[in-house]
Amino acid sequence: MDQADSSGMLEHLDKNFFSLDMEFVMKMEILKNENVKRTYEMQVVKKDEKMRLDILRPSIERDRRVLNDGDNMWMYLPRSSKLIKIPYKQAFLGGDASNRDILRISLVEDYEVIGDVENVDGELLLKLKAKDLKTAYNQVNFYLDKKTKYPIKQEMLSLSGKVIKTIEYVEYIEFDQGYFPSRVTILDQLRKDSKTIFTYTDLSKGTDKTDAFFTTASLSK
Amino acid sequence: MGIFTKVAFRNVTRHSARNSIIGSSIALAIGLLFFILSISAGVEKQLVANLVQIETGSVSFSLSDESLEGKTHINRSALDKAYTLIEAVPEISNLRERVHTRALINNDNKSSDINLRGIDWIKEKPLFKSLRFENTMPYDSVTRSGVLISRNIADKLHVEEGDECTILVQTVNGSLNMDDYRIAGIYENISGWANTMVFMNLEDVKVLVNTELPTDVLIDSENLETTPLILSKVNAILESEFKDNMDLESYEGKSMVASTIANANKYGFLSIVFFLQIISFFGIVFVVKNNVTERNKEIGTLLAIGYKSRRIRFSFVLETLVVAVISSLIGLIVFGGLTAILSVDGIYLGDSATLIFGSSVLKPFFHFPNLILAFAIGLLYPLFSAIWSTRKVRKADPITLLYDR
Repeated sequence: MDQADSSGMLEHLDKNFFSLDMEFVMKMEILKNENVKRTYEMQVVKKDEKMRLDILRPSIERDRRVLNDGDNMWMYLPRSSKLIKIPYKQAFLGGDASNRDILRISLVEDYEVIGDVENVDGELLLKLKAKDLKTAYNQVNFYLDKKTKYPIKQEMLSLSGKVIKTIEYVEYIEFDQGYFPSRVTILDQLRKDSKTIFTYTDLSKGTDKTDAFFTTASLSK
Repeated sequence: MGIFTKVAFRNVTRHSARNSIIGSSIALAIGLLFFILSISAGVEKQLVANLVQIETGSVSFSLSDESLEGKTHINRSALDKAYTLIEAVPEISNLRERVHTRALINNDNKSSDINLRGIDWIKEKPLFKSLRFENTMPYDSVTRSGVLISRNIADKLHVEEGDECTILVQTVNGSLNMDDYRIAGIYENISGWANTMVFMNLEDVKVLVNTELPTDVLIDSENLETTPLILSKVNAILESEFKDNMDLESYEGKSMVASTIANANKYGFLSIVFFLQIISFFGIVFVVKNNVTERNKEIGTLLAIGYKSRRIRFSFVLETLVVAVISSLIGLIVFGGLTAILSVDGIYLGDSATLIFGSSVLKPFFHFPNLILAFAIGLLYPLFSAIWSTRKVRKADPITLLYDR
């Protein structure tokens, strides 16, 4: 496949998986040595370049909200009624994913394709490079299913080319005349004894939430 | 020399047993006073010395994030030009480029937050002397992409010398970078704050954090007292060269933790000194008074044959003063010598001592004014004791004293 196919594949990934306007419930399980240490459940709403997460469970964390307003990331703490700006690279709720991993809106905005798509062990390898050095992971490798072009695995690489994190798309469910990942695992290469599993349910395409829903002012309501 | 001066000097040896007891009390009290003051000064000095050597220099300046990202006019040649001007300042003895950054060190699922320090190993040779390595000095290893870690971190990661570890950092631009390094040396724990330091070759850290520039520049002087002067001279140079793009600070401005620990220790040691002085004072007064009381017959005889009480008192005071001078000198020579010996390598007290003293090695500091102070106290207490103990001689009845049992 040539460069044009690679760019098309990136756009396909971005459009169908990352920048799709949608609502879903996300369950996040943090495991250590295969034992679940913490579980969170949250309502996620994505619209344009914005994304908001409302924690539903555990009840002690209920109403904690996280927002990517397109420019910054914010967290609302209901108990102290405080709104804090959160850094992109901080671990999301203490798991193996960073805030940026969870709240990423668009791949195309941050990355560009390098080289052609390669055939590796029966899978397609799409290599992406960050457009600038501000992006946390300088390179991302997508391993795609040869037939469906759906991602199977995603490697996040450091500036020196070493794998820092691996995201595995374990299960897919039917969604909007296609498929959408329903179970995703994030593995931190520096903490191989721990992993974070995300399970997506109640998926619906589009959202009726207005732009006001994605403002910091609305987080406290 | 008057007869009573002669008598006083002769009495020093004539009452050798009694004077030995008085002398021992004075020597021990004064020697210990000097020793404790030396340890107190040593703890403070070592905390500051460690801080200056490991982290701050006498004066240091750091580059702004914009400069590191290449958004200002500060570049390699501009920095080298500034170095030339700074190094021409006569009070400055050394200039060390550093890359300071927070990082994560990892080995086989064990991680620890660290303060990564990229150092120019040739210019940082004194640093190697202030670290105590478990094995040989790892000068060459550092140049071969090795890292130097503390015993504390080695235990956390379950690693030993020669093992591999991974270091994850955020580059100056924001992206993450990671690489594997060999553990070239393990140094014995220094203190709580210093144990998180991981030292690595400057050029390797520059590659890791993706910069050609240092994050910090440390400026050393032979004498820390010249720090304010250096600060103003370097400030003038940086003002003209870089305006607001540098953050200049003296070691005192960065020594919050060290100052707090040093002050806590100083007050602790001063309390010990205070109680020791109370005990010493009453002890010396008691033995001197006892000496005078036991020699009532001698005083009575002298009064009976017509000598004036003033002269007799003078004789006792002079005798005590001679004993005080000799014993103070002996005490200071013994404890001063001990201080001098221990100040070379210090006393290794183990890691738990870092919680109290900020360092695992207790190194006394031979401070001359402390020696003078201890000597002065060594004369003052016996002098006071002798004057006070002989105050009744003026009104004493020689017959009563002669019959005193």
